[in-house]
Amino acid sequence: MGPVMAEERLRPRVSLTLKVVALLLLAALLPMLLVSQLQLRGSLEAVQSAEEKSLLLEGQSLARQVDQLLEHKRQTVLMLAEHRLVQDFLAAPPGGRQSLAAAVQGHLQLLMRGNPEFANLYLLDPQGVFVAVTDPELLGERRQFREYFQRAAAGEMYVSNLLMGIRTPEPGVYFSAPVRGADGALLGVAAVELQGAAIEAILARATSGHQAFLVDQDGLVISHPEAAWRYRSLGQLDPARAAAIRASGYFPDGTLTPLGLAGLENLRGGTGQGGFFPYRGSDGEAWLAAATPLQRQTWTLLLAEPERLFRAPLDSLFQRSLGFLALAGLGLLLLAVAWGRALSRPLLAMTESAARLQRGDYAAALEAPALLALDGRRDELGTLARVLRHMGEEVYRREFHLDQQVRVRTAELEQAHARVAGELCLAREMQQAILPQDFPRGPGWACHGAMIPAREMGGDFYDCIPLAGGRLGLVVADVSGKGVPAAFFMAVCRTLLEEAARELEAPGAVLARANELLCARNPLAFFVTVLYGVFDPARGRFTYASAGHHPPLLRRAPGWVSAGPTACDLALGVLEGADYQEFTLQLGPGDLLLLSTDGVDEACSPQGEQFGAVRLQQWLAARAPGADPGDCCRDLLQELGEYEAGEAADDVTLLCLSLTDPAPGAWQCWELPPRLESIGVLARALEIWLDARGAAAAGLAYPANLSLDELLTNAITHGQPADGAAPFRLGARLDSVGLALQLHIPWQRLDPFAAAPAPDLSLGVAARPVGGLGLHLVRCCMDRCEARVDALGTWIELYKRFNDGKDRP
Amino acid sequence: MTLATTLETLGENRHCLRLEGRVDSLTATQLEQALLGLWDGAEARVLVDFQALDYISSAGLRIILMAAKRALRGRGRLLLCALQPRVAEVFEMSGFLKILDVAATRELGLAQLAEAA
Repeated sequence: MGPVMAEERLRPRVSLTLKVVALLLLAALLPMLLVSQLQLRGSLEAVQSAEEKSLLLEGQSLARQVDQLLEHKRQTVLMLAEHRLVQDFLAAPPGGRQSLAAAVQGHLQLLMRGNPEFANLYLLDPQGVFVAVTDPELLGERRQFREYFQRAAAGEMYVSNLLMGIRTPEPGVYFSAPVRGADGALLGVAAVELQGAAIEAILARATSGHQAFLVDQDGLVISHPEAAWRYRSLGQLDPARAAAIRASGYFPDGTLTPLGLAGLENLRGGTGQGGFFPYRGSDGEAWLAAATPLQRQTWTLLLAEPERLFRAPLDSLFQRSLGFLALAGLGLLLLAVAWGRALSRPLLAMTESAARLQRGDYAAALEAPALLALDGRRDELGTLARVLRHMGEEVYRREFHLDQQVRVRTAELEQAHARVAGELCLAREMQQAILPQDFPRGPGWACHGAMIPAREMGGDFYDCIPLAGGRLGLVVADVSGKGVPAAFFMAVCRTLLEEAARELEAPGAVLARANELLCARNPLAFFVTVLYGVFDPARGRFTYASAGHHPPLLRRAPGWVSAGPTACDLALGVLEGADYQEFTLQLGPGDLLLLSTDGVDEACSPQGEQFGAVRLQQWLAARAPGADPGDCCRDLLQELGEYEAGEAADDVTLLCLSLTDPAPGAWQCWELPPRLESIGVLARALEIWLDARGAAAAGLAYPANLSLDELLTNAITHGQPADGAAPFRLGARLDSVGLALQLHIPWQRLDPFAAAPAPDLSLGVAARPVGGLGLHLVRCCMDRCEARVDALGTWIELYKRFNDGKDRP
Repeated sequence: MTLATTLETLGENRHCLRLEGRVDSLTATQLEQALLGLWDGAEARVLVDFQALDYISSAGLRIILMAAKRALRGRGRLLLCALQPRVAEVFEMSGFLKILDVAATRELGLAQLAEAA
């Protein structure tokens, strides 16, 4: 458990405090909020309904008053029309009315005085002429076109609208009734004009802040406290009706325009429509109107009140309750935070301690003041804290005990390990020590070996065994397995091989003997691959046999590297009675022989690529002829170390035999396919090469080419190499004395010089045999001719001194 | 690296074969065809002019020896002339200079050939 995760655990995504606060606020504030909202809504409804009721009552009262006024005036006109005096006055012929005129005038004046709301009282004859008027100026004028006359003359009791037009300078309501004689004949018309002011006076009785106004059957406002409202329509008037109204001339010009009060557009007077109409004033304010239709007229009285008037107290109530809620909420919040912290702080302290326990920080975990403070608590948190402390102490005790034990054991193990390591180290030194560290050398040759074990104890070994006759036995071996058992087996192998080598001469026989002995005492079924060879310096010969091991690598002086042949014989220790085939390599000056184990080929780069046989051959080709074998071993080990860039995966064992090169210098090499045509090509190339190296060298071209021609012609015509056979190779080197040539014919296993007898030059033409001259010519041309035949073919060495007989610088 | 042979008939059964280039294992057959046929059914006297021959190997020497044997058998004559020093050296090494007739120059060779007749 990393500290990062512990840290995460200490900081929960939603803290306990936050949860407690949220819960408390929810539990306390939500019901309060709901209750207050419900109460507020209830009061609002109650207030509104009470307000509506009082508004309706007031409107009805005002409407009743207007109705009463209109009814009273109607009765007055009716009484006037039925008055005996009036009837008589109108029944009298026009000339006879003078006698009654004063009495009638007096009666009219009396009525006028009794009803100050009247503007005028008229009596008209059937022709519509004013015959008696309270305003004397009108006497004698004709009003037969007025509606009140026409309607009354038609026998109808008539009440006009509240008019104010071109014919009526002040607003007024006209009442008219027919005056009939005893026979029912129409005598004239009695009419009264009621001042509009009388109605307005009633409307003005509305409570302060309220507005009372009248609307007629067309939806026109006919009376309103504000002059601007008068004679304007609530809704849009039908155009035909509007034109008719305008034509009547009862209303002033420029009126009849819509007021645009949203909510009242469809209200019309006299339809019996009552109830409440909420609407918006032209300034956007909300109003509530109570509509009461009048009994006597096709009018409706509207009593309107701005909603703010009755809402104001409610709003202040709402604000007060909100303020209280906020205050209570703040108090609760503080309380909840305090509680939440009181609850979460001990939990945090315990979590912190538990995290420290987890990290192994026992002192800090158990002695934390925040945890100690919890010990005295009597609630569940206190119990939990005490349990945590006891648990921590117990864990600490066990941990401490365990730690002590581990320390003791570790020390013991270290001691034991050191002892074993020391012994192994000693064993390794011993193992290295039993491998020869001093390497034999003789005139013209030297050898050197190295073994680098991959682990402390290796399974590889090498050996150089001095044998009778100045010969040298060379061993490179690889024991299966690693470590101590392999090392033991190796020691046994080495001893057995040495014994067998001293006893027997042929390498194959030596391996066969060692195999018999090993098979007889090999309980663990180990096996070992061995390359054993005998170097005979006197004859420059290396004869070897391989028990399942790599063949040796041979580098000829000109730089040609080849692997010696093998017969895939079995490793030692596998099968009793195995035999081992022998091969011979003829070594010459400057040749280099490398024996190794598979630790070299199979050395791996960090990328997993093997060093491989090709790389090893390239490395060997890059050596100089006659190189010091010790240098070669060191070079190769260094190269392998750099290639592996780390610990070696397998033991590496090298054994290197180097033949001294008497005349060091660079070789020029050619390689050509085994065909007769190649001879001319080679001759031309050699000639060019020699020509470029001075006259003395150029002089050697003829004998050299003649010799090569003879040798190659023989090899190709008699050896008959198969198509695609390995090419032949020529190496040439000039030294101070002359020209050295080395010719490798891989397909031939025959010493041409041994096979060809010298011709008898004394015979005459008839007796001379045809042929057999070629090799004679070579011998004559060259100062030295030698051929070595081994497992890799025929190696011919030729030498020709400069013709002038002088050594060159 | 080739061989060119030019046969010149000097008179009845008298020939001069001029060699130019190299005689080695590849061109020896060519020399064999040009030279050995001259003794077929006649006692031919042949001068081989080595003036322009740069190189001869044992394959060439073998043909020359065969020609000499034929000349001997058919009582004809084989005469070599104008050998370059390198070529002469090869003849010398083979012991042929002792058993074959060799003239120093073409003129001497022609004269010897006429003499013998």
